[in-house]
This record gives sequence, C-alpha cells and structure tokens, in this order.
Amino acid sequence: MDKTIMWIPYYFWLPAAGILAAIGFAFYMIKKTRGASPEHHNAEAFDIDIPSMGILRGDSFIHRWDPRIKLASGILFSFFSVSLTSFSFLLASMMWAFLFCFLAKLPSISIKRRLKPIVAFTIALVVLLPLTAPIKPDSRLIVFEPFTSLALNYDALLGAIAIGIKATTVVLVTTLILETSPYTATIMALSKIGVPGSLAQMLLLTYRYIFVLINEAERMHRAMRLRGFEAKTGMETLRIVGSFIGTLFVRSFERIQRITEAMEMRGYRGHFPGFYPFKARTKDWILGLLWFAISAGLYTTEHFHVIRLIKGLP
Amino acid sequence: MHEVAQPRPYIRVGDEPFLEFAQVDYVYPDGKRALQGISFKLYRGDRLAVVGKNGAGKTTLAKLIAGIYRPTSGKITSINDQNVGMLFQDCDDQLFCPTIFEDIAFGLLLKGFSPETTERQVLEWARRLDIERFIYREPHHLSYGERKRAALAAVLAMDPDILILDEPTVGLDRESEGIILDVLSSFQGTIVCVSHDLFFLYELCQRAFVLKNGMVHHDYTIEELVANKETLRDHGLDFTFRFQCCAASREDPSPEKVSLHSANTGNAFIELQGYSYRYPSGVWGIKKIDLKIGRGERVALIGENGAGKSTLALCLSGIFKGSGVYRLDGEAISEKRRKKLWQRVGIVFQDSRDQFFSSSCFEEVAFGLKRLGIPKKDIEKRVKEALAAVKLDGYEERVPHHLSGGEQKRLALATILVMKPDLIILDEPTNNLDPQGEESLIEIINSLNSTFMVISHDVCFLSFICDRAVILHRGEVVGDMNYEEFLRSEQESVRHHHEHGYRQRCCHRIRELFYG
Repeated sequence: MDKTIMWIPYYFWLPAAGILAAIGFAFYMIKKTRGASPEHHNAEAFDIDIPSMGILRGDSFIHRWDPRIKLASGILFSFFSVSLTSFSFLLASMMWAFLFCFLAKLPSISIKRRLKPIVAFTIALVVLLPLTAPIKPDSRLIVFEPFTSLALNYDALLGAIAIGIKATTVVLVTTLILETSPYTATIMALSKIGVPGSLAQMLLLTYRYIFVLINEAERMHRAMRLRGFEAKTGMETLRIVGSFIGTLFVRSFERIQRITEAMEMRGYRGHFPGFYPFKARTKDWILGLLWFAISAGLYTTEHFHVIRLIKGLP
Repeated sequence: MHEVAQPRPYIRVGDEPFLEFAQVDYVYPDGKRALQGISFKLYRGDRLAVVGKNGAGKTTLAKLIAGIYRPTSGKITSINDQNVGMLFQDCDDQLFCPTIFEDIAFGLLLKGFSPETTERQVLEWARRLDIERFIYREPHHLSYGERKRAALAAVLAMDPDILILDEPTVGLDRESEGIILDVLSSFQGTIVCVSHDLFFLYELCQRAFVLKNGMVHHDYTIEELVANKETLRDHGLDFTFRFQCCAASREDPSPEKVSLHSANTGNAFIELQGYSYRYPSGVWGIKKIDLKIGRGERVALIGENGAGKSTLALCLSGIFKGSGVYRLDGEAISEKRRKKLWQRVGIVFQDSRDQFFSSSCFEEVAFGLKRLGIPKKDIEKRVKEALAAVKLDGYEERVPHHLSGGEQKRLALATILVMKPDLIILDEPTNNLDPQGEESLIEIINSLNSTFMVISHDVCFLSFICDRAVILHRGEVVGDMNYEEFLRSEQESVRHHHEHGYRQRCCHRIRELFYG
C-alpha cells in the first residue's frame, strides 16, 4: 500500500498536549473566578441562549450601509468563501471577514457568542473525522508514537479544519449582517432581494415568538418537575412528554389565533409595513462592489493558481 | 335568584350614539352559545364596564364590538366607520414585532402615516406610557408591566374612537397600573373595559353591563352596580369582603398579628442566609437574601414586576440552585435534598394552565401522588379529598382546559394540596378570578394549616391571608414587617411602586355608597 505516514514522536506531542491542557485549564479558572459577565439586574430575567438581534451597538459605515446591498454582498462573499479549497485562501477569506467585523466595531462578546457553537462543532469534527474517515490507498496518515496501531487520517484532519474555517467565515459574515442592521431591516432586505414575502414575515414572527414559546414550555416543565416528573426511558415518560407537547401545541395554536386577531385590528392585511424605507446611495454601491471584488478576487486567484499548478506553469 | 332587571333607559354620557347592537347572538364554531339577544347603544364618550362571572361572555362581547367576530344573528350598526382598538389580556399576543418601536409604528405605517410622523407619534406615546427607555428593545427583555404599557401604546397610537380593554390590570404592579390609569383618564374616546377589578372599574367607568350566561342582565351606572349587594352577589361580583381591608388599614395593628411576626428570632422552618441566584446570562435574580419563616406563617412576597419574587419561589422549591445557606426544617439543603424538594414545597403558578397537561382533572391531581409512590387505592381517596377541599367535587372526569378561570385556579391548588407539602407558594393567585372566586380562595387558604408564601400585587387580598410582608426590590429584601404595618406604611409603599392610594379612595367611596 502506498501510504505517506507521518510519525509524531512522543517527546514532541506529549509536551505540546500538556501545554494546551494547561492553557485550557488556566482559561477555565480565570473565567470561573471572574464570573460569566458583569453584574447587572434586568427588569425580567430571561435566560435563553439565543443571541439578541434587537439592539444595535455602534454606528460605523457598515451600520449605515444599505441592508439590501450588504446582504447581497455578504451572501456572495459566503458562497465564494465556501468554494475555496486551499488553506491560504480559506484563511485569507476568514481574515477579510474578521476585518469587516473589526471595521464595524462589533463587540467581541457578540462574535464570541456566535462562534462558540462553531468552535465546538469544529473540535468535534477534528476529533472524529481523522478517526472515522475511510483510509484510501493514497491517504496520508499520522501516527503518534508509541501508539503505532492507531493511525489518524491526515487528509480527513485537513478537511475538518477546512470545514471549521469555512463555517467560521460564514458565521462572521452572518454576525456582521445581523448585528449592523435592525433584524426587521435585514429580513425586509431579504424579501427585497428575492426571498418570498410570506417567508420573510414568518422569519420575523418566528424570532419574536420563539422566546414566548420557550418561556411557556419552560414554565410547564417546571410545573411538571415540581410534581415529581423526571425524564426516564420508558413508556410512562413518553406518554407524559406526548401530553406535554400536545398541550403546548394547543396553546400555541390558540395564541396564533389571538396574534392574527391583534394584527388585523392594527390594519394588517397580509403585508408588514415598510419599517425601513431603503435608499441605496453611491457609496453603498461602491462598498458592495468592493466586497464583491474581494470575494471574486479570492476565488479567481485561487482558481487560476490551481490551473497553473496542474499545468505545471510557474 | 334576583330578577333580571327591566330594560333601563340608556345612560347617555355623550351626545352621539355611534354603535348599536340589535338582538345580537354569537355561537362559537363548536356550537357553544356565548351571547344571546344582546341589544344596546354605545355613545361617544361612554365609559363602559363589562362585568360578570368567568365564562359569562364578556370577552366575546368585547370581540364583537371590536369587529373581530361577526354576529351569528342580529345586527350591529356602526354610525360612520369607527376606529376600534383593543388591548388584549395577554400582551404578548399584541407585541408581534422584534422591537417595541416597530410594534407601536406597525399600525401607524399601515394607516399611511409618513415615517417622520410615525416616529414622532411613537416617541410621544412611549413618553406618555413611560417606556421611552425600552423602545428599541425586544419585548421579551421587558417586564410584564412594561410590555403591557407598550401594548397599550401601540393601540393608543392608532387614535381609536373606541378603546376596548380586556383585563387591563391583571398581573400589573401598582406603578404600571397608575401610569395606565392616568393615560386612560385623559383618553377622549369611548372605553369598554372587561375586568373583575371593581375598584379600577369604579375609578375609570361610568356605566356597567352585568353579563350572565351570554345575556346582559343589567345596564347600570357604575355607582348603581357597586351599591347593589344583591346583584353583586348573584353575579359572583360581591367584593364587599374587601371593605374590611380598607377599613383595617386605618386601624392599629391587632396585637395577635404583631406577635405572629416572630420567626426572625425563633426557630425557623425556612432559613435563607446570604442566598443569591444569578441567571447564567449574568442577570441577578435575587441577591444576598436573609430570611427566616416560621412553620405555619403566611408571608406576602411583594415587589414590582421583575423584583425577584418568582425567582425566590423557584429557589425555595429547588428548581433553581443558588448560592448561600438554605435550610428547611433545620436541615441544610444539599444537592441531593434539592432534587427532592418538590415533595415538600409546592407552587401554584401565576397562569394555572402552565400546570395542566393531563386529559382529566383526576389524572391531573393524581400525577404528583403517582410520583410520590402512593398506593393506587389511596390515590383515589386523596384526589377526591383534594378536589372537595377546593370545591370541585364531581369534576374528576372534566377536561382541565375546559374549566373556567376560577375553576382552573382551584384545580391548580388541588394538584399541590393533594401532595400535602410543608410550604405552599401561590404566585399571583387572584389573576383572572372574579370576586366570588377570590373570596372562595381566601376561605380555602384560611382553612389550611400549611405554611404559605403568597406573591401578589393585590395588597388587599393579601391582608386576608398574610400576617407578614416581605418586600423585594431588584432582587433584594428591602422590607420585612407585620402586614398591618405594611398597609399603613404608605410612604414605603410609594417608594417601592406599591402606591394603592386610588384603591383606598375608591374603597372608602364605595363603602359610603354601599352603606348609604
């Protein structure tokens, strides 16, 4: 079998793993002693881990950018970024996304909050893919001494890292779009660039009522726990959970009827009003073209670079 | 039963009749008849209170006036096209946009106002309802009182000719109630208010409809209504038990009640020392609470919306795990004991429907007993006893979601009582209850010997149950006193948004009317 095997000696990987573990532990301890976030008391504690999209922080040129052009440019940039294959270009596109977030002066807490699940997802991929991806005849392998019988798929590892970088880039672009325009403006912009209006309205209502629904489910679950409910594997739990979901469904259905009544009383006849009258200025177009140029530039450079490599050109 | 009153001449508050109901019936699609033979005229400037027992058809009538429902038979004539606005009971139904600003602007923009005019209007109504600070925030980050005010701002911004209010004071702290009352008092149009809160209605309205079984039994002036004990009693509206409360607040505290307030020094049944709870998002729920409650004591937990009352209740019941010392009956609550706290602490939630997920009342009440491992033969006996204790005998096979508001509240109480907890926590027990339901709840609670903690904004209701008041503000205990003392400490109440001045005033006026 023609395999390229990389041997990682124990005197290299063992100290490296130790240092990484120590850094991780130090971060954990710092976070634990400092607490999760600064002290404050809100009017009503609401504790659901969905990033807030209601409050805009900052007033940069990206905040003032026409949401339609910003959204279209962002979507194009994301498509071009995920089409890249080489690490240098992937990293370059991620750097551009970071740069835009920096220029928009986005608070690090918003970026961290959105990147958290992506980091967890990437770590899971990095751990699992090299162990589970099928080894082909031309696969490159990594072996950590002295565990010689455990070979990791090096190509799968690179693939997992590439997926992580692409996901990070897309999440950064999403954060940039969502955190620099009001949520409603972004959704309205979506409908202006071709997404069906009814879908856009559903997105608006979903964002509002997902919190109400979760809150309702949470209260019901607490009431069940206070009467001794404990989720177990068995028919009894399934029956109770079935009743719980059924009740929640009925209550949600009743709520939908009341919301419709309330909307119609305020003049709703199938369309949300135009909360944000969009007006594209020359500088909005220039900014859009600039971002498009960056996206297309990255893609075409990589594309021709690869063609040249295949053809053996300098 | 008293006789149904003969049709009375219309009480013309304004000059111009603009809405007329003629023999209007309404039947729900499932065949349930909600209203029948409703005839009346509504005049410009009328302030109409719609009262009656739970299930009398009040909300259905409000929705017919609003034009949400169309009559099954009969005729509704509207002179000119009236602009009708309705404040729904659950303000979350009305705040459907991602921010408060957009919610208030929604109707105005659809009406064709320019963005500039809309913005001006939004800011003006936000200022009048004291929600300027929150207009760019998402509704779920606001307290209940703030959301209610935002919903009212959204309705009033549309400049309605008729404003319909469905239970506007339910769950509101006194600060929000005061703001809403001020705004409504200066409203120039017609008001139709559906409520069980007769003090609020007395302050706001001039005319009253008494509904029973879908029919208008009386068309009174509000003074005639509150002074007519017979009508009040027959329609489940007898709120005269509250007179004792406004009278008591003027008297000196009774010596025996003062002596009850002794748990802080003696052996405590519940003891919290420096107890805090912080939500994972960093928001403080409660902060460094020191509290002792004696066995059998009845404590009122008072504070503005978002003060931490419900958080404290959830900590005591073991749902939330805070930091600090928590002892129950002398035993420190360890992690293992916290998980078993449900066997000793029961909560009746603000919205009774949160507690129901079974298909029959029997199943609902038996749920906790099954988890406690009670033998099957005893379950039936105990369920029957619990249902009887809350006056729901014979309701075993009824569907919980089909019961009236008052019955649901009593059923929720039965689901907890049946488990015989040492501590019972009631969260806003009077919400949506008619006065008869309230009186009946007081009777039930007073017949029990358990330790009670009652969360409510209704200081009068609390005076019938509680002997001690613990006042929370922004997660901290800022007052702990005898309940009589609390009632008299108006200054303290005002500072913590519990001004109940207009209620006291109404109570005294109604007493005078009542006793001539």
